[in-house]
Amino acid sequence: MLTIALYFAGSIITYFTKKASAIIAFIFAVLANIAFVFTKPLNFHLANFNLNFSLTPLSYIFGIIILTLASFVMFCYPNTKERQYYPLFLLSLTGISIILLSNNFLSFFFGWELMSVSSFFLIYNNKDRKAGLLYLVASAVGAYGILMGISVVYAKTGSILFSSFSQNLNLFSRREIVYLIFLFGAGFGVKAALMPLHIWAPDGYREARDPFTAFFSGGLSKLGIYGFLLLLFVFIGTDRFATFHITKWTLAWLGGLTAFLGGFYAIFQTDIKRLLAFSSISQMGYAITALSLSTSLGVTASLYTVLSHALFKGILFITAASVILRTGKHSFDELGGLVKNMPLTFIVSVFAVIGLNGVPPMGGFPAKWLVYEGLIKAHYPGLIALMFAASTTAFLYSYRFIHGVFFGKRMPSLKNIKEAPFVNILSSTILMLALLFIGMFPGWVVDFFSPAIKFLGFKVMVHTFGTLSTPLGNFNGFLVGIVFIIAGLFATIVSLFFSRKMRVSSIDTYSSGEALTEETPYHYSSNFYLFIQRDFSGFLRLSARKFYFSIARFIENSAQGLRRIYTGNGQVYIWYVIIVWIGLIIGFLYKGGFK
Amino acid sequence: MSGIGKTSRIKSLWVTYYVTGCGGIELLPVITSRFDAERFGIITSATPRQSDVLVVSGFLTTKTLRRIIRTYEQMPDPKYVVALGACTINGGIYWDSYSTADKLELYIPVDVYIAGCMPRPESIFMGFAHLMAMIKGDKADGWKRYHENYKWYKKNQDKALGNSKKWRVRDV
Amino acid sequence: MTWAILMPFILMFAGLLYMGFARKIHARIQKRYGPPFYQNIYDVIKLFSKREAAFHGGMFHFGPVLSLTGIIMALMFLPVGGKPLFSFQGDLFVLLYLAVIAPWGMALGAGNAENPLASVGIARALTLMLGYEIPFFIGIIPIVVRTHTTQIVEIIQLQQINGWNVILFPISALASIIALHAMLGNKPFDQPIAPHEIASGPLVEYGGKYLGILQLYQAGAILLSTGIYVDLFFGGASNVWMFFLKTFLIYFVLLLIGEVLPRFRIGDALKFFWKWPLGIALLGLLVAVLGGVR
Repeated sequence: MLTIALYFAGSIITYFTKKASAIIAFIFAVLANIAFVFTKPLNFHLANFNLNFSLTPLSYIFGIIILTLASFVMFCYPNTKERQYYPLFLLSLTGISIILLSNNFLSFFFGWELMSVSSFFLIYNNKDRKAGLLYLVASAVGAYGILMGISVVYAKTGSILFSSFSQNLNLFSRREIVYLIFLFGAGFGVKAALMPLHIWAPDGYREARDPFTAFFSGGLSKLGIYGFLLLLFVFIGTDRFATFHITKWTLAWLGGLTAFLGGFYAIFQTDIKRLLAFSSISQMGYAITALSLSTSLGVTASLYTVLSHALFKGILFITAASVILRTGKHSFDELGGLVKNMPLTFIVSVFAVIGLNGVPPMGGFPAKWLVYEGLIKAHYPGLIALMFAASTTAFLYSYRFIHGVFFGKRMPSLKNIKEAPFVNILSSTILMLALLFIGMFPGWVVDFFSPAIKFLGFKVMVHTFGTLSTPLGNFNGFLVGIVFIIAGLFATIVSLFFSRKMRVSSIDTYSSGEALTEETPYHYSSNFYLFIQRDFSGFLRLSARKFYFSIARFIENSAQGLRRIYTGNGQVYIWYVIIVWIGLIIGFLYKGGFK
Repeated sequence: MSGIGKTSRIKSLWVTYYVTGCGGIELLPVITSRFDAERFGIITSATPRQSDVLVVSGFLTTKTLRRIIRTYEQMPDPKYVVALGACTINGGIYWDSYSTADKLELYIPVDVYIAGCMPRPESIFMGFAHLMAMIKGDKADGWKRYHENYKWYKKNQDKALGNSKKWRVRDV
Repeated sequence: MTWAILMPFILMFAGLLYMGFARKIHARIQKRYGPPFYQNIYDVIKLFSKREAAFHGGMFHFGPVLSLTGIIMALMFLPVGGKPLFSFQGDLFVLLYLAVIAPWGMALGAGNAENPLASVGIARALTLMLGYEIPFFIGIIPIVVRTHTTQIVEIIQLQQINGWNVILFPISALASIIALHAMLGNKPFDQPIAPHEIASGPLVEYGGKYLGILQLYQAGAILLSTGIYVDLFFGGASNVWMFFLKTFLIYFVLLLIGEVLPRFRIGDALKFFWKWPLGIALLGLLVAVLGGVR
């Protein structure tokens, strides 16, 4: 409880301080983070309800990941001078800690709403109101779904405790459980940006305040996964859920489509943060597919994806924040060639992007490997193909990101950009080292997850400190890491001998003998993948967002049709009253009058 | 350079053909199936950064001379220049035109001249064989001469083309 | 253990010989003599003996370094013949993802070349990768799901017992070999390194030792791609010479197919891959699933 109190107090205090709010916020965040680890259970009564708060192994894992990432992001330099940045950030952290610590539905919902509303205020700005409002509406729809689910549960079981739900599960018929999954899943799916509930995500991530977006995608979206894990394995129970074949299949395919389509749309984006937003949507699809398999490998894969995604997405969004802070531009058309100005940011981003692609030895690979192994073992061959296609799209859009920001010829306007703020580089470097660690020592990570896996009712997979074993195959992360270092040293030594370097300037490049100047835009960055875009233009015109907006327009138009009756003209209303009166009198007399 | 390095340079010459005038027409049978230069390891390289030999064939106007000099400077050392045709030796049949520069060797160092208007493929092969013999005998040192006498070359280049940042982007 | 360390270099050397053979065959088909089959070795030695190489920045230097690292790592984990190496850890997915490090290194280096031709080349290479990776992978799935293992060594051993996978899964083998053709970067799928269109794409600013390193990477990549294919579909090999023979035969067949075809446009290549090889691969997957995988 100290955690929640600390976050809330920090939020109030930083609203009133001006200059020192960053440091105060960071101190409160770190203290609350530490307090989280030592939380003791707490029960108290509120009106008729018995509220229970405690730290389950699952919430411990998620709390460590999310709140530690929050501390790192809090450490970064804010891009805005608004007074409400730190208070709202800490308020959303309050909401998250309430969600993670609650063992009852009421405070769970309260925390969910608190988190949604405070993050809404961090998205809403005057330039693009629609993005913020779309997030609010989508969150509200999801939250109502959760509330309806909670009401159904309360009506049937009479208690708001999690434990009473899972103990009284036999009160619900199978169909009712599927409806409950649907209702709760709508709420969790909105947060995790599962398709087709993802429409708020691209613009929402783009308009969010800058370093907060790193936490938003790295931390907040994980609560959707937390919700799913709670719903499917704690409430319904592992054995029971394993019999819901159609639900599992639907959820797995929805996750697969999210992964592939998120990656596919990310290829064509021109805005930095929108591309990273679609990438987040795609990675969360991996997590949802993995957990819907409801096997030990699946749940391990899901948790691993959550951890590695938090790390590399945090780094990438912090990079984006640094670039936007220093240059003020956020579109690939205007950036390029920043590798000379921001070398440290570049190095950290390259490692993050290697993690995003799932290439060993960084931490993204064990997550993907576990997803594939889980899918093979659970006999979903079609989904493996879709996941691999999604992974291939990751190569494309991640190279677009690195190329559009750092490579190519630098525009003259970007000549004097300084390196990113030191705090950003420090945060990103620590996150990058953590990513390398979890890539080389996957066994340690599975050890870390094992209380949560056992809590969810699965057996932990076979592992040693640096290797993972499944019945299908092995992965020795430590060996791969060592071989990478040795091969890298060898290649570096080879490259240092032989020819000396002929340093050429950026305008002394091959141009068929033509002379370039500093101002010549000899840079290929806009329409980077035009060839794909041209051939798939028909497919790209479809959009879930247009579908929802067309429904909204349909309702609005039919409401307009009602204007024929509700004209707003007082005289017409008086006519209606007179007509109804006459009709009543006629009816009265017809029935017999004053007998 | 050691023996194996020298042998490999002889056996694998990558050429950038700078075809400004009519001399290029005789290069086509050289590099394709009719006379097949590839069996000696001579292939066309895609960019000057990857090539060893610059073959200049044809007359030199001010426009093309600027680009020839840029291309030559973009090639990595050691590099050789083969001047093909009479126009590069002393202006050829365009010696009295207002727009041609007459002697290539005033602007970039030339290792091998192949005379003729235009030289037949057999002559071109003899020129390449001569170049290979010169490399073997350590006599193909045009690139060293360029570095040592750069002031003299630069004076000639400026006199013909004007010193301007527009085409000279590298200080050698 | 020493074989594990030497094998990448032996394979890269063999790859240079394969590239030389390719040029010889290409020449003979065009009714000319062609260079000797060891010509590419001279090329690489010449490139390393250059006195200087253009240098654009740190990543420009480390791109080829990363490329070489990636190809050495991937070749170390590839089961070749009967030689024991890290193959007991040679899981299929590890190998497929390790094979991505090397093109990624080249892409990063080419990006720092500050030349739009390099960027176009990389965009084409990635688009082509989006095209061919999916059918290749869908072609492999029936094997993995049917044999219920992802260790390549076990797949090879099972093929000795049950017969080669190319006979058991012919449709998938067909889809994968078309994808393999693009993986090798031969005509008609050499859009990324198109010499005449985009001045050799990512290699446009590379010369000297960097180009030498990238040639070694290309040589190794030939052996890696055909090696994966031979291990998965043609029963691996019992010793190194059989491995070379099998990979060379597949390379030879793909070369001959490439001789008669011009280069595709990149949009057409992508549409081709998502129509025919993908269709064939999905058909193969369907046949395998219906044939009693569960």
